[in-house]
Amino acid sequence: MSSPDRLVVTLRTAAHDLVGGCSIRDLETTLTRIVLTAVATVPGADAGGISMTEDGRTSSRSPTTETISKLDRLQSELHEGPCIDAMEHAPDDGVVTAEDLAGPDASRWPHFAPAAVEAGYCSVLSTQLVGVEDTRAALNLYAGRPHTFDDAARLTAGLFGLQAALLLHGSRQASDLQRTIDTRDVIGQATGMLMERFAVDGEEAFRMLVRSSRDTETELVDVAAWLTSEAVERRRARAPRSHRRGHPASTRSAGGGGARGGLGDERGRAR
Amino acid sequence: MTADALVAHLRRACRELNCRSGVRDHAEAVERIVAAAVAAVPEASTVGLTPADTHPSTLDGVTAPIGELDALQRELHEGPAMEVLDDPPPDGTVVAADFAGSDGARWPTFSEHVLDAGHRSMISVRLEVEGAPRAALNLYGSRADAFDGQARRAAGVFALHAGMLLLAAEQAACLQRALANRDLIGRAKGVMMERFGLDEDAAFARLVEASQASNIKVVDVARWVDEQCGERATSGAGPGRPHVA
Repeated sequence: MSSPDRLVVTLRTAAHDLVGGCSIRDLETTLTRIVLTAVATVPGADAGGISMTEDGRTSSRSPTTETISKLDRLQSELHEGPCIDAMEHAPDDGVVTAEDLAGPDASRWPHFAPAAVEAGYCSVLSTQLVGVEDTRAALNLYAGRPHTFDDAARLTAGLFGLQAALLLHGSRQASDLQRTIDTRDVIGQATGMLMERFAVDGEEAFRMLVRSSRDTETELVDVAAWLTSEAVERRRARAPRSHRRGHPASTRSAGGGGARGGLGDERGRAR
Repeated sequence: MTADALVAHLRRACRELNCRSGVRDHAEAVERIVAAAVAAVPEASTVGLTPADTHPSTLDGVTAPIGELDALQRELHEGPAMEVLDDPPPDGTVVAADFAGSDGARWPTFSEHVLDAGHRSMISVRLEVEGAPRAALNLYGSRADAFDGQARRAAGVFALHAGMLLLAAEQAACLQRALANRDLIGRAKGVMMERFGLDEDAAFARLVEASQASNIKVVDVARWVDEQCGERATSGAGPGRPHVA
């Protein structure tokens, strides 16, 4: 039997660090994990960040330092640098390296190179994070010394970038779903309030919400959020504490055992 | 295979894993993994999956890409898949170079079945990401020594990518379930807020109290509240024409 492949062992450790003990539902956490794990995994990397284009705007995400944030942003502003090349014209392995920005690579990225050198970085390695159509992203790693990122670093970064991209994809999906859940929750609350206020069922209450959204040309979720906050505010202002017993319906019925305990008795609503 | 070619290869496999947009559930994830595995490790002629049965969220409902040989290893408790599940090496990969040769003695019963099915060699690699079901991905080769060191490396790395997809599928399935409950719970909260003049947190606390007192799940308490409101509405007990805002 051959000995275990050290590259695979390294990447397995990285995978564990990427997802261990934390939820992928928060996109920012995922981005930060990707950057920190990349810096720890790719030999020679001193610092890093992610550049991401969404809806035509590129931003610097989870930079390890303020300097990195500036350099990543600068590449987007200049539309020049290894990061831009990795996002837009990635070679087959998805990796673009700057060997020495104070030397031969200075002419390759004439505006970005002096700024990077000035900030203390001569080597840059950018890996494309393969995404879905509407987003582009690259993981950028920086090192002070020139010629830091050799073939082994390039291979590690290329493969790490693939698993990071898949994780990012999953994390984005999860955070979108989480947002949908939060939205649905608010809409549910508003529906419930209308059900109670007007003694209608869920469907009718929802239709009322939709009508109101259409009539006021306001998003459904915004109508719902307004309705719930308005009701809470109004009651707080009017009757800070005692309103718990405001409805005749709200007194706890003596026979209201089981799930009904504490939830009020619907018969009281029938006037 | 050169290093560049390896990455390019795995990039293609990743595109297949990531094809279309999101992944909905385990079944879809496993299908994509099995389809993309051949792109990552072209030496493989057949691909299958042996699920571990120890994770709370298992792949037991998923049947399609689990072949006879994959399932057989769990029944016999013998074969490369069982080794990567029970006692994986650091790279998560076990190779059978030739079932008709020295590996025959290592897995005597399983080897007979593999050879009958027309395979000579195999790689099993462990799919494992915290929070997702665990499994062994099995790649079968039609000739002896079909898988060299590069193929083993490709399989080992591909398994990490496949694990990420399984994690995404796990999260998506779990959030979908939460979504279905959230409508009901949101509504019940709204009813409590309106009825008792509570804010959202207090309304939820009221539901939780009722759930604990009655030993009924919160979502079922919420469903009960919803049904009560529905009955009241059909009994015509409510006030006149409603209007909002």
